Amino acid sequence: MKNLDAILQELLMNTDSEAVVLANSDGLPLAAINTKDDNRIAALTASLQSMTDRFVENFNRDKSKQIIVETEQGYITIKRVNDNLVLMLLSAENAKLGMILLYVDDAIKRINEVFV
Amino acid sequence: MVLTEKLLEHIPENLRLKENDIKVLNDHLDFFLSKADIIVKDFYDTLFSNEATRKVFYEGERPIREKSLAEWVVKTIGGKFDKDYWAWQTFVGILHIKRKVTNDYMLIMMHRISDLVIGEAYKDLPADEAAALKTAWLKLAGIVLSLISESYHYFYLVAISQTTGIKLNLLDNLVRVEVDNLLEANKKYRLT
Repeated sequence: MKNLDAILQELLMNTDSEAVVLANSDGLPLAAINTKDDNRIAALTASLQSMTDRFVENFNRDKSKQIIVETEQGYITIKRVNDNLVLMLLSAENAKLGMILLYVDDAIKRINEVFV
Repeated sequence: MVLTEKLLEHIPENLRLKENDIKVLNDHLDFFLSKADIIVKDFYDTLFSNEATRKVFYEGERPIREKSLAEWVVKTIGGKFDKDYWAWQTFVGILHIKRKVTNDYMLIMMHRISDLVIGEAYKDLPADEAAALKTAWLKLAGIVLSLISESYHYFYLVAISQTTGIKLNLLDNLVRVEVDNLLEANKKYRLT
């Protein structure tokens, strides 16, 4: 999946991010860069997405659009690519959230084009 | 219950209850009725003699549970062992989750019942009859244990899945990413 790797690599560079993973809804990695344990991070990413969806269901809301975790060392962004895929981006401390979201949306659009 | 059918398919052919096994069990309903008091008393004496297993019961529950076990014996031995019967055993797995009757308790106590049943059979019945009853009983106990233990495991995961929204496939994957670490941490037990 050369195209996917290129999209993710570009996303990392544009957002001052450290790691990225694209997982399917079963938690299997489709592509990953700089994650120490691709399988674990993909499974946890898909789990967080699922749990968040179930959480918001309790308030009669639609599925969550994104999950943003703010840590002392920067943001972790999890965003649904489509019904079957989810993206996780681990950003550096100095990364700007606005830029992250902008480039994540762009990456998602391009990833979806790969699977058309 | 679809799960019941799936689990029954897992049982090797020679370990399934055949018509003659069912006949042997049905024909010995009176034997089981005559032993019900011994089995039930021993079963609950054993459970109540141990602190961990005693904790499963609430105050004053023992007579109710004794009645349930006696009913289980009668309904089982006199039964047809049809789909409804096996589905009932699968359902017991869910009840066990609710009551925190973990599979270790269940397995050890079923072995205790088997020991009693077989011992009483050889004491009271001609040897060939006791042997046939032993075979039929052990097949039955094996199937019941399979259904209850796997149903416990399955519905435990289903409950987690439904609460969290994490699909069973994903739960399975979460387990797989951790299982190698568990193996590594316990490698001293591994056979060469």
